[in-house]
Parts: sequence; C-alpha cells; structure tokens
Amino acid sequence: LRPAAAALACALFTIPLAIMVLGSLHDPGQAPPVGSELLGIDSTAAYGKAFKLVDLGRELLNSLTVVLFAVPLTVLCASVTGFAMTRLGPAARRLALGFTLICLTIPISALWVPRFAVWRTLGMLDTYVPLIAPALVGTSPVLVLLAYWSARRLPGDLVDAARLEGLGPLRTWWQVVVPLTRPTLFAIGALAFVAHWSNFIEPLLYLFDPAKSTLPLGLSALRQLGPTEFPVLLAGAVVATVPPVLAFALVQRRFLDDTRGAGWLGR
Amino acid sequence: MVMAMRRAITVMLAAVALGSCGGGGGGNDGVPVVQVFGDAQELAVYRAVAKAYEKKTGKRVRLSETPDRDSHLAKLTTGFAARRPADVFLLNYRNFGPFVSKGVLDPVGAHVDPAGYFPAALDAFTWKGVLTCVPQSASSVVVYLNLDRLAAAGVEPPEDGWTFDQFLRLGIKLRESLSVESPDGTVRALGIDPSLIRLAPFIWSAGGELVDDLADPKHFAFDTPQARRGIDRFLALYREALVPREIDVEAKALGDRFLDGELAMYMSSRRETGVFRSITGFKWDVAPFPHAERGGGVLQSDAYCVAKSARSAAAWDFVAFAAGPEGQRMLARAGRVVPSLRSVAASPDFLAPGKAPASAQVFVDAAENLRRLPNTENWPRIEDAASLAFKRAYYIEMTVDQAIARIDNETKDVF
Repeated sequence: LRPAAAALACALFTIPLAIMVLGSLHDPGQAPPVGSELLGIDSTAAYGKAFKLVDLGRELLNSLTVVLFAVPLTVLCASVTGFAMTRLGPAARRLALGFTLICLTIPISALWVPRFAVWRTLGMLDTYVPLIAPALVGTSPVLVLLAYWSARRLPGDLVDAARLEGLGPLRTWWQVVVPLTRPTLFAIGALAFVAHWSNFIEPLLYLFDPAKSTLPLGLSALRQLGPTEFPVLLAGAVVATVPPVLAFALVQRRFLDDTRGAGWLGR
Repeated sequence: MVMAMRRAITVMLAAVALGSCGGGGGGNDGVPVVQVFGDAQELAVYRAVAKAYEKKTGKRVRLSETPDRDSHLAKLTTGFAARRPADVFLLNYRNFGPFVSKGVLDPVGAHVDPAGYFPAALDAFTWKGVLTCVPQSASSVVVYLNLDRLAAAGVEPPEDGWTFDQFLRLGIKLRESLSVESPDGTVRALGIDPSLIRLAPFIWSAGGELVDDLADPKHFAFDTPQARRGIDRFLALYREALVPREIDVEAKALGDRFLDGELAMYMSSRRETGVFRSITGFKWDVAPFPHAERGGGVLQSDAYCVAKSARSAAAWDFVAFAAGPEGQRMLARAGRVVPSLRSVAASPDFLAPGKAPASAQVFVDAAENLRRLPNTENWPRIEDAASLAFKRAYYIEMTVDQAIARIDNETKDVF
C-alpha cells in the first residue's frame, strides 16, 4: 500500500511539471490549448523564441553564480548560529530565540529601502553582493531556527565531551555538530537554494544592468507576453526548473534517507 | 502577492519625500540610467531605442528593465526613498502626482519642444503650469469587436459616431444571439473591467464630471444627475447580463476571453492590440467609445520623466530622442501604444496598413479629444478606493448610494 500511495503522490506532484513541459512544446502565437489539446506536441519553437526575447543562457549563469555562493554561505552561517544558540545560557537563549522570531515577523518590504540605502552607501548596487549577503544571516530566520532545533537534539554530554577533549567551539561544530546534523544541513541547503533561485524582488531592486539579470526577472518579462505566448513562458520555466530538479536529484538521498539517525532532522 | 506589492508601493510613494534629492540608480560613471517596464517584446523595443540613440549620438545610456508596472514602481520608489532613483523612467500620469509633488522631477523646460504632441497628454504631465514629463503615448478606451460574432448575430459593425443607445441595443442583440449558442453564459456580449478609469468615460459622456475641479479636486462629483446617469449606464451592463460574472472573470481574464472568441465586444486600451494581432480564429476590429449626451474618451498615457540629478542634461538628451519622432516610430511599430506625437500617430508606422485593426484611425481620432483623470499627489490611493467600491456596486453587492458613501468616507481626508 505504501509504494502505491507514494506513486500516487508522486504522480500528483508530477502533473504540473508535465503540463509545463507539454505546454512548452506548443507553437507560440496561438490561443492557449484547452483540455486534451495540451497533449499535442507542435515543436520546440517556443524555446527558440524564449532564448531570443530574453537572454536565458546568461540569466541562468547569473542565477547559478548567486546560488553557488549564497547556498553554502547560508548553510554555514545558519548552522554555526544555530549551534551557538544552543550553547547560550537560558536567559540569553530565550532572548536570541525571541529576537529570531521577531525577525520572522518583519515584512520584507519594510527592508527594501534601508537595504537599498546601505548598498548604495557601500557602492554595492548593481553587483551580486546584495543578493548573496542575506546568506550571512542564514537567508531566513526559519533556517537558523531549523539549525538550532537540529543542534539542540544532540546530547549535551557529547558536546561537553568534545570540549573536555580540548576541542574549541568551531572544531566542535565542525567535527561533532556538522556530521550529526548533516541531513538537516542538506535540507537547509535545499530551502536556501529555492529561496535564492526564485528570488525576484532583490534582483529587481538592486540590479540595473540587464546583463546581470537573474532568471526570475527574465521569466517575469516572459509572463507579461500574454496568453498566446504561454508556450514561451513555459519554455523559460522549463529552463529555470532543470537546475533545481538536478540539485534535488543529487542530494535527495542525503535527507530522505530512511535509516535511523539519518534523514530529515535525523529522525 | 500583487496586492501586497501594491500596498508596499503605496507606503513607499509616501517615502519618496525622504529622497527628495535625486541621484541616478546605476553606477557613478555619469551614464544616465533609463528605467522602463514591459513584456519581453516591449523591452526588446526599448533596447533597440537605446541602441539607436547610442548609434546616432555616440552617447551612452544604461537601460534598467522591469517586467511590469508594479515592479517598476516598486523599484522606482525604493530608489527615490534611498536617494538613488533612475535618471529617466516611464511614469503613468495617474502615478505622476506623488512624485512631482515632492519636487523630485526635473521640468522639461527647453529640453523638448512640446509642439506636435496631443494636448491631453501634455496636460496630464503638467504640474502647476509647468510641463514636467514628455508623454510617450496617448491611448484611450475603444471597443474591440469580434466581427465573426457580430456577423453571426446578423448585425453590422458600428460606424464612427455611434451612440450609447446603439451600443446598448447591439449588446442586447448579441446577448440574445449568444444565449442560443451558449446557454450557460460562457460566451458574453461584452467585457469591461469594472474600474474607475473605465467608468469615467460613461460619466463624462452622460454630461457629468468625475471630480469637482480637475486642477484642484476636493471631492468626487458623483451626486449630479448627469454623473448618476453615467454610473447607472455603467452598472446596467452587468444587470443586463451583457458582461461575464465575477467568478468567470476570476477564472479567465477578459482579454483571454476575447482572444478565445468568447466575447463579442471588449472595451479596453491600445495595449491589447499587440496580443490580439496573433488572433487567427476570427476577424476583429475596433470601434470608438460610444458617445451619449457628449463624447467621453479617457486618456491613458505614460511619459518619460527625469529625476533631478547631476546627469539630468544627459537624461534629457535621451528623452528628446526616445519621445521624439525616431523613438516613437520604433515603439509604434510594436503596436502596443498610441504615439503621443500626432505625426507618428498618423504615420504608417502606427496605422500599419494590412495589419489588424483595420480601423486603427479610431485611436488617432480619439486622441484629439481625450479627457484625463486627476494627477494629484494622493490620486493613486483615491482611485484604488473608488475602483474597489464601484466594483462591488457593479457586481450588485452594494447599492450605488452605498458605494458613493463608502468612497466619500474613504477619500474625504485624502483629496
């Protein structure tokens, strides 16, 4: 029964992807296909048009550049911060947790202007620094909390023993915490990848040179084309979806492992 | 997401005051930044305009592209609030007030000769008697017609100068014809967005006014018999079952319905033409907005505005080219805007003989007599509030009196 349920769930989640791929294989400039018309395949002309209208190749490269820096940095910073929070005294830990939760409630639009002013002062506008820099605070408070909860599950004796063995905080984190929370770190990496890969507003605000544009901006420009050009949009969406799917395929075993001590949150 | 962004933009429009010194969004190399928005095809046209300018003058501009109007405003307001806006940017006159009232825009002065532009468009970007931006377009609401649907109903396409009564009779006849073909109401006679900018021409054509004083509005003027007549005519479109239900529009947008042949008529602006030119399943054309007691076309116009900065001279140099005959011809050929220059609007670049709509002259004729909405500091908020209330009245969720009372209540301290 379990494999059947898994297959059913898999099929349900595959439907949007199938629609995206099939839709991208229709000729642009026609009324959107309805019902079974979707199953008909015309050509790959939409891909040609998408690449002609928007420099998808360069945008793909730009987005990959951002995630290449931002994702490892997010994992590093979230994990170190999460572990550090477990080593705080009760009062300080409550304060840190409360602060992190308060950060979660701040609307992102409230940060647009202050961040813009900061990057302008630092002369960093129109560079990738404003897109990568949020990784220094774990990209999102949720990811820091995730790392904290994961590190908190480790037996305190283990960390104390490491300290007695003469390991400093950073070596303890590297030699004890990282190996034992690896599945969570992969999950944090995956979530950070999604956050940075689909980030629309920050590239919009902080980038000016179209040559530095990232994929979400290009896709958004394709989205405005109108319903007769949906195949073009879907072709762009396929291009944007391939890297996350590949990334997930590569790391999914790491955090969906079913053996004890592995998998999501080391269940 | 869109509503959240709009709310954020509204808040940040107020924050423009913080950034009353302009500055230019890109690098520090003296090259002006030009911020534009549009779909991928429109952006390609702006790239071509920038390239043509650079080729002609040997000077450089840096194009900053945004995909849609909301994103464009978000980026613009953020830039102004942080004192680093783009040097040149597109602005609709309905969003003009919040910027110009803060003194952040550089007036046109002698940089561009206003002769030859449609007067309504120039007026829309004039603030306290000073022309502040150079209009790029001067579109209006017209009636897109599915000629095959009209032929199937046995009616002739309307002629220039048709009246509101003829428009209504045509709608009812189409409704009766379509109800046989589509008893479930999927196919409807007419599509129109229930917003203030669509309602305004109904009020004007009935002899009413939208506000008490266009130059310095203090309140809406919905309480006159003429204005009420215009509002009633607008609301009657839904009561008479000429237009799709709200739930149907939520499921499929009006533009998509016309594209699929489900609407016989669709009242919208020139912007639709680019997409509608891909229609192959039926013949279509445009007709002017019907007049009643008088004409009542509503202006839709974007302009190139320049932020006050050290690069404003270089910025105006680009604007003179982009809003001049060469730049406007390039945009006109893309088909999405009605040029604001009379000479370009009357040229084959815009009228595009051989391409739909055959009656493209309708847009040009309308552009001579357009009326505009106010362009005051708080107009975006006022228009949003009024559109929301009238939408509820349109779908008979509240009475006209309730809608007007709600609008008065929400806008009395904002005008």
